[in-house]
Amino acid sequence: MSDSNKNDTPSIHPARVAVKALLLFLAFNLVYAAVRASPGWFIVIRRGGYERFPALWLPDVHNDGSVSIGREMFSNMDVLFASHILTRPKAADEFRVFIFGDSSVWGTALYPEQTVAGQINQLDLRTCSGQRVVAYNLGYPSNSATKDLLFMQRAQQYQPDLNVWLFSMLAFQRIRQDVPFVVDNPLAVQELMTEYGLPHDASKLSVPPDPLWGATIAGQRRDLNLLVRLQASTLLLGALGMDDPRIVHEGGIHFQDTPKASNDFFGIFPPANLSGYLAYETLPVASAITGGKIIYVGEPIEISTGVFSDISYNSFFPRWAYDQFRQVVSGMSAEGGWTYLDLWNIIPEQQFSTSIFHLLPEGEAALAARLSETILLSACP
Amino acid sequence: MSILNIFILAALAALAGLLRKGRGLALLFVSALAVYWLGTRFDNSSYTFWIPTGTLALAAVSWALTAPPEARASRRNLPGFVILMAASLLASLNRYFQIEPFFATTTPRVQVAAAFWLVLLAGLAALAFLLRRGRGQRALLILAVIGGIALLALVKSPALTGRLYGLVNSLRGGGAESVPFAFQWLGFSYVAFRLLHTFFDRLSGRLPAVSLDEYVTYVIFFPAFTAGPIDRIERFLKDLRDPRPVRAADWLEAGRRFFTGLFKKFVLADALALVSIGAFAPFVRTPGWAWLVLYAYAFRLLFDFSGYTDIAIGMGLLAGIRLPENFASPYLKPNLTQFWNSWHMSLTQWFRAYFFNPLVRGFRSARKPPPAWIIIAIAQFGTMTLIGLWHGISWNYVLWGLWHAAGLFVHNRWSEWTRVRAAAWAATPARKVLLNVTGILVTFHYVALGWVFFALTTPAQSWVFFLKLFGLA
Repeated sequence: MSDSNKNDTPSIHPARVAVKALLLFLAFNLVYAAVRASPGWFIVIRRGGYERFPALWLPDVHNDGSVSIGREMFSNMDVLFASHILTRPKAADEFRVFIFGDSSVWGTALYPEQTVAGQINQLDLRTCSGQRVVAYNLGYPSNSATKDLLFMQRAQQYQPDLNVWLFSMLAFQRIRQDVPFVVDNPLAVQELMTEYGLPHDASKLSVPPDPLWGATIAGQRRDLNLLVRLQASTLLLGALGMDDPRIVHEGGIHFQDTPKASNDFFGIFPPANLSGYLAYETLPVASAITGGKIIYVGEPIEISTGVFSDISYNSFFPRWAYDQFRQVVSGMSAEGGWTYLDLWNIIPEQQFSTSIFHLLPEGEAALAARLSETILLSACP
Repeated sequence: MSILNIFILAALAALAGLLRKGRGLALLFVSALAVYWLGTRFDNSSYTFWIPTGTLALAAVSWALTAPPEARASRRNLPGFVILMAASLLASLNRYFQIEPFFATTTPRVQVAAAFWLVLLAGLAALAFLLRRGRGQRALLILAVIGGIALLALVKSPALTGRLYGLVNSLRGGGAESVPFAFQWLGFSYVAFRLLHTFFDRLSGRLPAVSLDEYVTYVIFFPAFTAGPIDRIERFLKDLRDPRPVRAADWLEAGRRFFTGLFKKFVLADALALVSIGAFAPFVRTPGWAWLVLYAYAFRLLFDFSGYTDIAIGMGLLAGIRLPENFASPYLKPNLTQFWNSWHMSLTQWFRAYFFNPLVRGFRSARKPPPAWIIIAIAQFGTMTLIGLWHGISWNYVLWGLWHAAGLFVHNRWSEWTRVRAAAWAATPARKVLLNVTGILVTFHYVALGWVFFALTTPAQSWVFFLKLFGLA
């Protein structure tokens, strides 16, 4: 190469390259923010296709070589709702029932059709006016009443005819009102606080992002990262033909529960009044959000047999505490004129699976049958 | 390494690259600290301190074994030793500060760590005295080779490390039960191969004279510490001793490689990991899905390993060291031999230099050499089995190595047999392209099928997955 040719070669300045890269990065972020894009827009695989909220499955190989499967749920409601079948248009003859709750509603180690929503759909119910009852699984594996209210609030735009809320005492524990899903959705919680007067300690919520920063790619990087991982994991779930790979290890298995020996409820002993420890104030908010179109359900829990069954119902709840809880909810329901089904003990011990809340398919079928009666009654008062 | 680790180390590499004086010592200091920082996370255990310390001490002793007497006696080695000791003592101070990333909550008292280094210094001095005339060095080096290979075999065997862990634990007053995978030595596979390389080269008289700081920096150079590549020491020293500051063009290339590597590793590989075969392999529904998760695994491995290599090369360039390439579009190669010339190249070059070529030369120089095809078969099966075992001592890696050995041998014989005919047939450009594309597809699928052994922990699982792939399960 001649000297003149060498001189013709443009020199490269790393600083200029860095500045140009920075400007491009800023431009992309500003355009993204200007069009108000959100991670939910970018779902390309199974948009509106899941029968329950999707999870990310993380197999973990332990030191002893055994494998366990972790479940990571998303806190971004845009992504969760965009991937759920409830975003499909409502048919003219559809009587839409949304079912809210924890992992027992979501259906751990169950196929979607085996969950309570799936079993209700299999019953092919018709209301007195001939409408098809279509139940939607809006369970999210976390015990928190406030979390359920957030889903309820968001789901109302999808035109439910009836809402069903299943809960246990655990969902009302005060500390569970700040589970990660709640903490990660500060704006939605604040809306509950201002619109429905829900008392909540706002200091525990994450700081809402600056509107501009939160709208940029950089501000949404964690949700976008989760979205990419969710889309990839969708392919694996397709390969397995299931949306909960725990089915392969835990499906259909009853794990023996042992009643706890102590009669304390998370350190509180009888004859304490638990009102201060439980977030009962969430109950009327649910009625307000749904305009009264709601059935409250005390969900089935395992009544375990064993040495300490005279003290506790199972490994979680001492008898005195759960009895008190049921009594209070029953009283509030009567006072508020709400429909309340206390189904806490309708399922036999053997029909529970991996925990005192999770049911085997036959347990879910029994629960679905019991709920169906009340759903049809509510549809045709 | 997490993204945070990577960015901090890249910044330190860039800072070291700006130095005109003392760059080598700066790189040694950062590398030594990185050995502690990146080391095995082992809650509430002093292994977190002693395993990295063992890495540094092993490198220092290996230097003493390989250095010629005049290089060993030089005062020039003192700063290197002081830096190693300083990094180690700094890590041990974490006992008092408990800085989370070091995580060594039970590091020994700083006096204990200092005593260890003083004992090591005395040991090195004693070794220098013993070897002052060079006598006995060869025997010690042969012992070091055997010891290095034995240690690598121990570290790579979960059953043995599990038992060792139980033994050590029982000596410390705990339970004696074996805990496989509990006792892990981060980066040792690469450290061991760098050390063995210097032992072999010293034995053959090819190793240049190096100071302690240069030698240890080569062994634990932080960009390549956890995932390679395995450089050659004489090439590494050429860059390390070059006092020129990093050029603008290197900065640009470093940036390109660094960010490409991050994208490959943390976007592509991590996303594909969620689809790949593994724990769920036995439950895949149909052959189509089985192929899909297998392809995902094949590309996940490529993006993971080559992504880390890009990051290492990028960081190395920032620090003024050009590490060797490790991957060169391996899935676009038309035969298995070329695949192995472009996949984890620094590892295959190592095995070629220190196992395959000496073995073939040994056979050929025998009084009655066996036929060439037998020599090739023995050398290829031996090499590939060892490459398999390098990844871990278990049957699945042995099978993976044998699978590739068989492929390489068949390709060798096939190409020998068809070379003339294939050249004659591929007379037109279209036929050449067709031959090339067919070769690429066949090679890629052979490699992908081999990954089944690599990914699944038992031969039984691999067999079931093979049946699934071909619709037989």
